Amino acid sequence: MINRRHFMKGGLAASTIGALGLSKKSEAADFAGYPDSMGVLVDLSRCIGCRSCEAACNSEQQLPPPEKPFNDFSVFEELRHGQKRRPDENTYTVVNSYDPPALDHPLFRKIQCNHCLEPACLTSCFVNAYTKTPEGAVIYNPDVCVGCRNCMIACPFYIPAFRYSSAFQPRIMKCVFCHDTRLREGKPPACVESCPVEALTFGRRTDLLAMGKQRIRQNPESYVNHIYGEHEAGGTAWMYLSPAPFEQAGFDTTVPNEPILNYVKDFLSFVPMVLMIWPALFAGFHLLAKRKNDNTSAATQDNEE
Amino acid sequence: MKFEHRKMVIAMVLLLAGSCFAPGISPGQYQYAPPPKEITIDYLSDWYGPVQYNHEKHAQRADCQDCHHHTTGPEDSERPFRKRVNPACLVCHEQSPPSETVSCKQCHTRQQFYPGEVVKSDNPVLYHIDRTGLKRAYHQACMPCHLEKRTHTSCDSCHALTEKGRQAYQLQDKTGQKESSGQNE
Ligand code: SF4
Ligand code: SF4
Repeated sequence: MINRRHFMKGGLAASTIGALGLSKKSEAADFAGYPDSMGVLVDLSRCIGCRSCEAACNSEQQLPPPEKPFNDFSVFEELRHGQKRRPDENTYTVVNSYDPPALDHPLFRKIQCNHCLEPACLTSCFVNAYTKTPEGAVIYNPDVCVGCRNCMIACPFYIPAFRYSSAFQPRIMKCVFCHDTRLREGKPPACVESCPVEALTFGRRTDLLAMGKQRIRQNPESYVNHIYGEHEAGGTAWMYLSPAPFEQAGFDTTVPNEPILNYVKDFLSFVPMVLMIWPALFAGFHLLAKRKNDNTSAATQDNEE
Repeated sequence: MKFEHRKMVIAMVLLLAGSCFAPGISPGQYQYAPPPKEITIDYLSDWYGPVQYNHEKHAQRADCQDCHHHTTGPEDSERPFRKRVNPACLVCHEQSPPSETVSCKQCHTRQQFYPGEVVKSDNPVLYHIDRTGLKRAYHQACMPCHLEKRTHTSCDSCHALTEKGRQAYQLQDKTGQKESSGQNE
């Protein structure tokens, strides 16, 4: 377990070893994940778009007040740069409305960090600011973050957002699965508890997969026969059931099933120049981070619990 | 924000003492205490206040089993409620006797997704791996009919926001900064 923990925190080591071709198959591909890690199954056919989950998240995470109250449904019409709303530096989760042609009512979809089993944000971060906890959350430690924003580029779901308020205190903002306040104690995240219709089901990821498959089996006409997140990006803790094709609810169905780390590695193996430079560069950053880390060991220890 | 369910007054939600007085259905061998005419459902109040539920009025408009589904025993010719029962339940419960209580909260937990509920799925012979919690059960009992009959469906038409709820939804009408706009529908 300790080794695994270290591996999961050791994005640097893994990618360097992979890059140098010491292991053909990356360790990430062999790591089966934490057996009892938790997840959430989002059933789009149940969601009524009430935005209670957004409100619950805002209070729980003490985020800044929103522009419009959480029971204002005009936000579903909002477009920013032609795009529907996204989680941003003030908002860990948003619910959007879609109109699949085959349905006679809108389909609502909650967006937040999917808490990947093998997170690209984590593997792309060379100062180890991210941790995948045994409970299933992907958490972030602002004390070691150098603000390079690699994670924002690496994430296949475009989740991490950068808070620009201070250039000297870089801070990535993203859903942390209520890790510190709830998940660690076995409690469901605030959004799940607020949902009036159990559109969000919290449980062990393995149980959720069984539930999702049972719902599809019992109501095959109500669902697309797919659980988004079972395999996408190497598997995610948050998974989705939908009554309409996933791309019609704003999902990126081109996200590969392999963990993103493997892609980074393949890319690197084609660029020998980069191979020469990156390890040294990473090592430099790592030392930097370590120094910073030592100064704040109390805080990080807390995160490792 | 924490839901302080346990701290809430556990007032009697007799949602439950449903006997079958709906038109056309005889109570037959199953005798339950007559239900109160009006019930205060406050077992889950938090962001929203209690629901003043007129049981008598609803019992005139729907069959008992529309809400109390499989809790009232096997079907017979006078109790044709099977149309409402999920066929998947009947695989095992075709001949199940009526339950001792028709209270929703007897089977549907308000501690949904808390550790005690999560470990229940460890029982290898348990078919109910996906049992609905109390909050969903209440809404599922009411909403399909309200939608079908095109009656009120907005949140505050059944339960008003509490002060805590107003804060959670960030309605700040006291300062005039934000209006309570856009309630459901
Ligand atoms: S969704 Fe993005 S931010 Fe969340 S764990 Fe996966 S890669 Fe990281
Ligand atoms: S609280 Fe539940 S029903 Fe409401 S918007 Fe969120 S997921 Fe959908």
